[in-house]
Order: sequence, then C-alpha cells, then structure tokens
Amino acid sequence: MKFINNSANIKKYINENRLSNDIDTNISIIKEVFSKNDNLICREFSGGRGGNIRCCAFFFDGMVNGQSIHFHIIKPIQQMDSLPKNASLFEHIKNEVISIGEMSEQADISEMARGVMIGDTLLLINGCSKALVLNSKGYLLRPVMEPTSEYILSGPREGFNENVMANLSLIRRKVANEKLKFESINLGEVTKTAAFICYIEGIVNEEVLKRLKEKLSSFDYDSILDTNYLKEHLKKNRFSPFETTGSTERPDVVAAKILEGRVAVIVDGTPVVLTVPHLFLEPFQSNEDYYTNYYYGSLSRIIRVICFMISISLPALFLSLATFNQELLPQTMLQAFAASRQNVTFPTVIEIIALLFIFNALREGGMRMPSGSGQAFSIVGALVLGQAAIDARIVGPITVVVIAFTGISDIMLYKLTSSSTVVRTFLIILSLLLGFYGFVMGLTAVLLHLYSLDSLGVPYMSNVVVFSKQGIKDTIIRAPLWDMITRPFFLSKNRIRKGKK
Amino acid sequence: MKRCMIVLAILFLSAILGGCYDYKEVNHLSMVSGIAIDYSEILNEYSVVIQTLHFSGSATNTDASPLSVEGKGTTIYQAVDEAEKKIGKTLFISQANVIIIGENAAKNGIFPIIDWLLRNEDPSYYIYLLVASDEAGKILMQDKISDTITSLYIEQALLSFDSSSFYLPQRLFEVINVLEDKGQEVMLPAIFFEESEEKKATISISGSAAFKKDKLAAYINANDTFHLAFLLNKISAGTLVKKGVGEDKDAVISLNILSSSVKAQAKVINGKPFIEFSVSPSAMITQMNSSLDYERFPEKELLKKEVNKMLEEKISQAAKKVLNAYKTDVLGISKIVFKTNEPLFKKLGNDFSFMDIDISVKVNIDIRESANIKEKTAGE
Repeated sequence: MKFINNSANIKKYINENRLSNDIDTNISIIKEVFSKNDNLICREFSGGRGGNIRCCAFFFDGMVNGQSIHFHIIKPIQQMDSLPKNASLFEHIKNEVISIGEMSEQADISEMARGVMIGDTLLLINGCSKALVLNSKGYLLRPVMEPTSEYILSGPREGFNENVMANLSLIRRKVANEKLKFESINLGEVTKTAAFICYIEGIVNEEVLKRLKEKLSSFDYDSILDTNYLKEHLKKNRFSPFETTGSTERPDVVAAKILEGRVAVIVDGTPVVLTVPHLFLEPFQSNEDYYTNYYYGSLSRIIRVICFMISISLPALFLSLATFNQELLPQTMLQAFAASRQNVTFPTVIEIIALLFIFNALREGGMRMPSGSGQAFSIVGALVLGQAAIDARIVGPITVVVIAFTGISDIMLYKLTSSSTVVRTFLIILSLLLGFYGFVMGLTAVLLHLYSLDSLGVPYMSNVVVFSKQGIKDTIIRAPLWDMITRPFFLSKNRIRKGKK
Repeated sequence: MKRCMIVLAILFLSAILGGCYDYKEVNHLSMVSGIAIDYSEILNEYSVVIQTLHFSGSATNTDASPLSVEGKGTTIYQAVDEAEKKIGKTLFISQANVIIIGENAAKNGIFPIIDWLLRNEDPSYYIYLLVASDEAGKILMQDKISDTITSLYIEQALLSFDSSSFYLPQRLFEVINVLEDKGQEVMLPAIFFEESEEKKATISISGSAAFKKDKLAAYINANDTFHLAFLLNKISAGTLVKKGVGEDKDAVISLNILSSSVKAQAKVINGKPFIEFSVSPSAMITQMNSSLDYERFPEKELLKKEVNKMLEEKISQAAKKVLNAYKTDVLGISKIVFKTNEPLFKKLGNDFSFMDIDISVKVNIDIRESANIKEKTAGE
C-alpha cells in the first residue's frame, strides 16, 4: 500500500516537472525519468561531520569525465565541514564546495534530464527541491582532422568534428574579433539539438540574417541529425535539384564566407556547417583557389565549370546528335561512330542509360565498400564491364568514352552530383524525345529555372550576372587578392574589405 | 506542385506527340560519301551512282569499304530512291563528300540537282561539286583510287588545292550564292577519268567548267584557271616560272606564290567603259638558275618588272578568252560595275552585256627573298 502511494507521489512530481524536498523521493523521481536506462549511474554519498549531508550524483557512464566528478564534486562534499551558521546548504555547496567551472541551478526536471543526457552530472542535495547541473562532459570525440570530403593540397588541414563547442572555437580562432557573434538556438522538437547562428556584425547581410532566423524559428521537425535537415527546410523552391544552401566541414571556408557577409549555421552532432546565401558559382570555388597562385586558381575554376557543363550535357548531347541530328557531327566523327556501332546489341539510348547506371553503381559501391575490396572492384569495373562489354558488342566504345568522361567530370564536383544527376537525366529524356531541339529546350528550361531561384532572398545567379569590374573578380576567375577590394554587392552593404588603412 | 505538373505534362505530350520521331540509329543508315549524276538526253532520264561506306571488322578495329549502287529515273529523286532500295538502308546524304555532275547533266542544267539537294531532309551546304568531262557514274563505280575510296580521294584532292590553284573547289553554298547573285556565272572544277589498258583507273582534277546560268558552257584549261584565280581572288598557292630576264636569256627563275589580292574598279576613259584589275601577289624565289643574283637590287627590280608583265599578259589573255570566246561572265563583270561604279551601271542599263566592257590588268608582285621553309600542305 505504501509502495503504491509512493509511486503515485513520484508521478505527481514528474507531471508537475519539479522535485520534492526529500532526497529519497528525488532519487526515485530521477530514476523513474531515466527508467530502462541501464548505463545511468546513481552515486549516493554523504558529507559534513557525521555524514549528515546526503547527496546523490546522477550521470551516464561513458559520457562523463570520472576524474572531474571524483575530485571536484564527490570528494569536496565528503570532506566538507559542518554547515556554517545561517548558511543555506545548497548555496554553500554550490559556491564554496564544488570546484567545477560551469554549473547551473535547475528546478525543472526536464532541464535536469537534458543536462544528464549531454554528459553533465546532476547533483541532488538532501532537503533541496533544486539540483545542480554540473559540467562534467567527458565523452569520446573525434579529434580535429582534415575532412575526407574536402582534401586540399595546400592550406589549413583542420576540419570540424561533431562537437558544436569545439567547432565554434575553431571558427573563433580564425576570426578573433568581438563582432563575431554566435547566437544559440535549439532545433528539433524531440532532440532539442543545440545549434548556433554565426555571423560578423557590421558585415553580415541583415536581410539574410533576419530571414534565416524566421526560417529557423519555424523549423518544426522532431529531430535534426545532420544539417541536411535544415537544408531542405531553408529551400524556397522545394522541388529544385539545385542547393541554395552551402555546406562545408572546413573552418577556414566558414570564416571566409562569413567575412564576405554570409551567415553560418553550426549544428551539434555533425561536422557539416551550413552557409547562406549560397549562390550558383560557389560549388565551383574551392578554398584552395585562394591558397595557390591566382592563375592556377582561375584555371581550376574554369575547368570545374566546363566539367559541370560536360557532366550535365554530354550524354544528352551525344544521344541527340548520334540518333537524331547526325548531320551536325563532323564527318570523320560520324564515320568513326558508325563504324563503332556495327553489330552492337542495344540502341544508343539503352547503352547510355545502362552505362550511367553501372557507373553510379560502381561509384556507390566504391564509396561504401571495405577498403580491402578496392582492387577487385576496380578490376571488375574497368575490365569486365568496360573492355569486355565492348568486345561482346553489348556497348559501343564511343558510348563508353562519353560516359567515362561524364563520370570523371561528375566526380570532380561531388557537391553538385545530386543536381547534375537530375539535370542530366532530364536532358537525356528530352533528347530522346525531341533530339537536339529537346536538348536545347531542356538547357533553356534549366537556365530559366536557375534564374528563378534565390537563396534567402538573394538571387541564385547573382554571381553569374556580374558586369562590374570588381564584381567579376571572384566568380569564374580568382583575381589576385591585392586587386579584390570589395565584397560582393549582393552579400554585404559593408563593401570595402581592403585599403582601409 | 502546379509547375511540376506542367513539366510532366510537357514531357508526356512530347512523348506521345513526338514519340521519338526521327530517331535513327547510325548503324541503320548508309553513309553516302559520293554521288555521281548523269543525264541521258535520248532516254530523258537521270542515272545516279551512289557511293556509300560500309563498315566491317571488330568494334574497335573497323574497316570502311565502298559500295557503289546505280539507280535510274525520270527525276533525280526517283533515281536515288531506286539506288536506296538496292542498298536496303536509309541513305544519309548530309555528310556526303562530293557530287560529280556528268557532262550531259551539266549541259542539261544544274538547277534540278541543286533543287534536289536542298529538298533533302538534311541538306549539306558544304558538299563539293565537280563536273566530269564524260560520264560521272564511271568515276564512282571505281571503288578505290590509289587504295583510297574514290569519293574520299577526290575530296582530299580538293582539300589540298592550296598547293596548286589549277582548279577552284566549290562547295554547294558557294554555288548557290553565285547563282542567286546576279552578275556572275558559276565555275566548277573539272574532273577527268582515264582507264588504261591494264584496267588501271586514274582520275585528275584540272581546270574548270564554266557555266552560263545553270548550263555548262565551256571548259577552261588548268593554266587559264590558275590565271583567272588571280582576278577571282582565289589564289592561295602556285608556281610561276620566268625564263630569261632582260639580257640574261639563260636565266630560269621559279617563284612560289604565297598570297594574292585583287582590287577591281569600273572606269570610263574616252567614253569607253572598262574594268581595271589591280593584282598584288607576293612570291618567294624557290629556284634561281642564273649567274646573277636576283635577290639583290637592281636585278630584283628587273625580275619584278618582267614577272609583272608576264602575268599581266597571261591573266588578260585568260580573261578575254573566257569573256569573249566562251561568252560566260565567271569574273562577275556586271557585279563589279554595279559595286564599284553605280552611275556607270545605271548609264549602261540593266541589259548591258559584259562583253561590251573591256578589261585591263595591272600586276604589282612583291618578290621576297629565298624560300626554303614553306607552309605545310594539307594532309601533313
């Protein structure tokens, strides 16, 4: 009977989201909140003369720094003297006994639980209806290392990891300025993931910042496990294959972008940081362009743009010219093509679709397979599916060359792979239906679509349609830094970035 | 969503209305490389020989071999249709290299041929036109000349005309331009076919066939074609040989023409209209058999003067022969009068004859030093 009454009592406190004054009841409450969590440690101990001060620490095994709990929480309490006269036990322990840097008082059970879940220690003190949430985080984290998806030959090697605070520190180290702001926001109804909006006051595009805050406050998904959750939320044209938010794992890239007037969103639990606004030419620009000679940087950008064009259009262009408008091909090429297609089993369109499928399958497999299988995979991919397919007259050699070239171009711009795949397929379908006219129609439609997009109010093609001398200096080319005097006009009103001294 | 539906609707309608119309695999086409067109006045029918390329071998190592098929019909289209049926594949004419027009067909007029070419679904404006001195079909019935497919061999010869200027290649669009442009007649390269006793066939492209409107009027020999090319501003190469310079009777000087430009101006002197052609070629000495040094002053000036005189005579002779003997305005005399002296053109009236206009030629050659390094010839 007593047990039933006690259980009802605990539920009452949980529903009211508060603690009682009795430590035994409070321990039961926390245990009930974390029921079925077997890695929760409940450490009861006492301090003061005669052990008359009872305390209990809750923390999750594996998420805390044990040394910190032992030396800065448990031991000082165990060794404390009796309570001075007229002193509050809770305030005395908080201010004079515990030697942990970051702590907070909590009367709210859900906030206590949240603290415990992110690696803090919850300290219950007998006779107090409040508890202390003490920073004792000590879970294992990936060290700061170079992001595998953004390798560069020269320049900073550090990359973000999954800890938001560590990520903030990486950015602050790059931009040591008091105008660098990190505004906190919790996202996800269930996960309550910590996120930060990062920008430089005075440089940031205020309109973009305002729109971003509005958009983030309306984020109502239950969780956010990666920044891509936000990407889709921030997209205005939700069916567009083009990304209107940028992402990077490199602090130097984020620093460079916010220095131009952009805003970054850093989310806990993922090394990928979002930047907005994100415009059309950005995926073609690499941080390495600024760390190498500007001639080489410009050439690299031009090559990337050409590769993107090839990646989206080459199979469709080839299909339209090879099956509809042969008269547009140079004579020798047409003869070579006609020769290579003698007795080939499948029509050109099936060849293209099949080879693209195989290429994507190989790429997908290559990305996710164990590293030991790589050699066998390459042999199967290159020899069996390439040369053998040609010899068996399943596909023509020119089609293989076209798809291989498309594949290489596509791999070069991995950030655009999703959009280029959609556009490529769209163009192939149109070319199949209408030939070269379909291809041109498709390209026009893609171009019109690109011009209709915007990234948080900034037209997506702003950095393409630039006619001013300064504006063009950081677009498809990378001008010397000594000649880049202004920030892009569409990003910041504070335009001058060089020559203020 | 609405936009998405519109895009889907467009794709769907394209699929069902277009339905991959005109989709043709290249291996289902028969690549035409050359066409020979003859005309029989007696039978009043056209005979067309189509030379196509057929491919055999493995996918990576394919050989092209020629297949020539003849078709006959009252119209060219009918004749081609008959040939197509014999081949069994759709003929792909757009990338054909050459069209050889037989002498009779050329005399009958080239308008029907051009009309048929332009009505083709994929007309090729870059195809070369030639006139055969005899039957054109005989030429393309020869599979290969010097181990090269005949039509490709002829095209290669036309492409390398830079080294001779003894014939002036004409593509379809150039012929159409001349025909549409009143005041000038068409001039096509002439091709000759010979078969020796050992059944070894040879062909040569030499000289031109001059037309009056669309009908063959006369043949112009290679030398005259070369000299007319100066007035037509189509000289790109060629060799001049000057035997005897002034007192140095034994001298033999060979000059390689590098380029040439021409200016034409219609004038009236003593009430008589004439056109003055100012030709400015530049040449290099390629051989000099003489005890004197014609690269140095004053011998060089003397050589220049004599070469000018020689060229003036030869060009004038060739021009007068074509204009007065053959009575064809391949130089575009009427056009020059209209373009350079409109008052004179108006005064002469629309019906004036180009034969009423006299011509004078002035040559001012620029002789450079010795030339050992020459431009690459085509095919190198």
